[in-house]
Amino acid sequence: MAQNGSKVTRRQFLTYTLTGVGGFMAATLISPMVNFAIDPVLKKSGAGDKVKVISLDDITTEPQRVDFKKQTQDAWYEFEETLSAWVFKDESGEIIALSPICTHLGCQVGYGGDPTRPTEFFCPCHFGRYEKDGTNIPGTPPTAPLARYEKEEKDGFLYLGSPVAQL
Amino acid sequence: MRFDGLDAMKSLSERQYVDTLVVPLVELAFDEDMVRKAEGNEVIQAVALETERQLSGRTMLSPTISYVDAEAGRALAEQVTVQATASGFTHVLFISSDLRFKGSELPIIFVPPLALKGMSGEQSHTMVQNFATQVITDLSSRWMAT
Ligand code: FES
Repeated sequence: MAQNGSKVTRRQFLTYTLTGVGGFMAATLISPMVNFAIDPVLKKSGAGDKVKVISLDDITTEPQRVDFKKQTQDAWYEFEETLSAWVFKDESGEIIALSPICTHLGCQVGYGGDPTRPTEFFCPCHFGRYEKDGTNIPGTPPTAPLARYEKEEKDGFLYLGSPVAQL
Repeated sequence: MRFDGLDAMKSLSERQYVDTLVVPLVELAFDEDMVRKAEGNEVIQAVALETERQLSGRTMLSPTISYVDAEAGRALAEQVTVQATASGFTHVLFISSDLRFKGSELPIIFVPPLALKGMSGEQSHTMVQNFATQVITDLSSRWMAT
């Protein structure tokens, strides 16, 4: 694995925002439940360079974390980058895929990571907080909402592209 | 943050935010023990990288401390701790698979040696996530306490 290369590109991802996770207090419980799409064949079967991550049937109103790998390239290497997204349906039934990268300094937020605020995203690093829809909560370090992935629903599956910053 | 120029600069300018150093601590061997040590290294590196990926805003991932002699390794780890602490890192955490350090004063998360490359992608992903979660939980609770 070209881990040297991932440094550079991870950096770009911090800029464009990406990747995800957020295991915190309940992290031990969370990680085995994380969905993981890895089959390289699946990548090509999707929409453009979007990656197939989860069956639409498995998406509920409760945000769940999905991890997936994406072929990425920087100036030197082509390699697999591990990305994460928090996926759920909002009240209107629309699917939302949030990037877990905290807009403060780039740690990964977790849904319900602060047990006293079960319906918020929480950043363990400097205790940044976001509403369920990704809106940053004033008075905490983040100054922008969580990015949202480009998405596409196709053949019963959700495909994710690149995260787009929300202003 | 990684130990590269750009991140080093950033960590200095965001000193109050980047206060945690994570250090892979790896034993070297080149005889029959090499496989086991190398497997230790596999897990340590994977867990260290995943930890940094998830907590990059507050942690700096140090280059690996490697040693052939446990005493020398411990001494080096202690020096790094002293230096890092003197330079403003409030928390230092080592990741190791060397159980001889079990009784030591060093703050260490232990991970077992495993041939991750021999596993399926999903298996190794789950493994690494579980160990990284231990590290993250440890750091989170320390951060909550300060
Ligand atoms: S990185 Fe999330 S609050 Fe600082």
